[in-house]
Amino acid sequence: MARRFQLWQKKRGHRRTGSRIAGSVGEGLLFASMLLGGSFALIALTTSRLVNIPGVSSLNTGSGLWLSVIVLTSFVLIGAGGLLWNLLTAGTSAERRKALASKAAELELLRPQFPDAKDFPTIPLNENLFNSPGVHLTYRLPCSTTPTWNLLALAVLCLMLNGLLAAVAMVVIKSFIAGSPKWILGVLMMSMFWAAVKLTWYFLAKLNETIRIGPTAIEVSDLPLFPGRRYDICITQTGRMSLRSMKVSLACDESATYREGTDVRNEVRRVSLQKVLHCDPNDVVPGTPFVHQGELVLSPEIMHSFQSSSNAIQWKLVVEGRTVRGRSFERVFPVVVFPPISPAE
Amino acid sequence: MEPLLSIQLFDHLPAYHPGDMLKCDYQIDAVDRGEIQAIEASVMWYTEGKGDEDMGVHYFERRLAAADEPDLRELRRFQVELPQSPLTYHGGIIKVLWCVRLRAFLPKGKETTLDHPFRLGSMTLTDSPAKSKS
Repeated sequence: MARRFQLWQKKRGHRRTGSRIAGSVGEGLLFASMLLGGSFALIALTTSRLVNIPGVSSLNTGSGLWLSVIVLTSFVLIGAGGLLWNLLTAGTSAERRKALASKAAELELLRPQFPDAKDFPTIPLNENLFNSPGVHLTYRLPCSTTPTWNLLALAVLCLMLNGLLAAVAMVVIKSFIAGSPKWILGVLMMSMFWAAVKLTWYFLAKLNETIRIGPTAIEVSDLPLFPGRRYDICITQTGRMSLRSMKVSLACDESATYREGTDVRNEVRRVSLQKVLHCDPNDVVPGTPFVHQGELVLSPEIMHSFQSSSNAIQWKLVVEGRTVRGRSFERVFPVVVFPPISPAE
Repeated sequence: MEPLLSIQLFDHLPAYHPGDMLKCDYQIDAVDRGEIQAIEASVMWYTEGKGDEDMGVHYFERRLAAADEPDLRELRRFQVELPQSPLTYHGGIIKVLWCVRLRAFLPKGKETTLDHPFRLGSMTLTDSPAKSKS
């Protein structure tokens, strides 16, 4: 018991005693409070300066208005950045991070094996596709559909609406106390309150869903992909949920951009979708990610990736999962397929 | 009367492979010698389909009537090594096509062109299934 509620903790270099989870939670709360406090204060300061609200005097910051804005903005940025970093690194040990960094350095030696981009000018060669080492296999593919940015945008919207609501509520309450109630503003405040509750509830539900359905990772034994070759692939799913099914497919999309009058339109058509893996996983519990390995054999007849000004052929691995509760999620991992290397080369 | 442009490719059927040597003869007939101001020959790919057309030129030569080459109508041969990509492709809304294009410039700003298509690579459609097993 005494160890569980240890008040003082030791720190030796990067090592420390105490619970890592409690540390992460504490760190997350610190950054969240910085983000919340900074946002509220910044919104209140700018609102009181920019909008002349009757009955409310603007916040007096003396000659240090811009200093206050800079300090509060830095609170918001540090809070948001720290919270994001905390969410991303939660559950990742220092050893694992170090091992990943070492593997990334080793990958530099593999780079000369890649085809020269000058010989393939119409094949998109994104650096991010090749610079992430995997844990089980050589490369980890980047995910193009992470919920983090959507969640962050939703959080910012939520904060802005709540900040505005706080400012309006202050005016309404003051008017009621002064004995000259502002009924129209009160009705507006009630509708804003209803919207803020709805939005906050939606944000919390999304946050809960994102935390429960953890990140998905796909690793492959080699990159880039060539038609007619065989690759090992590995899918890893973390989180805290009961999965009903997971499947991985190899998809090919054609994307065409064209002008219609003054409008620029884009059409995407999926021309190929092939099943690669299908598994019925058990419960995914924290600390023990669900891992499934399989094999991907590309047909020798498939078209390579292609990118020009208005047209593109994009290959991607699509992961589709479904939880026992009926929620489904999809993650997309772009890959690059090169043409077969000719004997002449 | 329009000049008669002709292009002949060697060993292009059923398809060239990446890295193959493309050998091409071209010639212009049914026109007076002095009427051809310039000739351009290109080996190029272009896209067709729903999107705006993109193109890339792999080989290009332009010949002007000059003292050392007064008659541009004569048979001309060139050869060029074909690239690794893009390969010929017939998809749902995108096609990638290769051709040798000959363009003759005539007096008063007139032009006439001739395309000779060829295939690069042996793939057909992207619909070929990717074999997989878990």
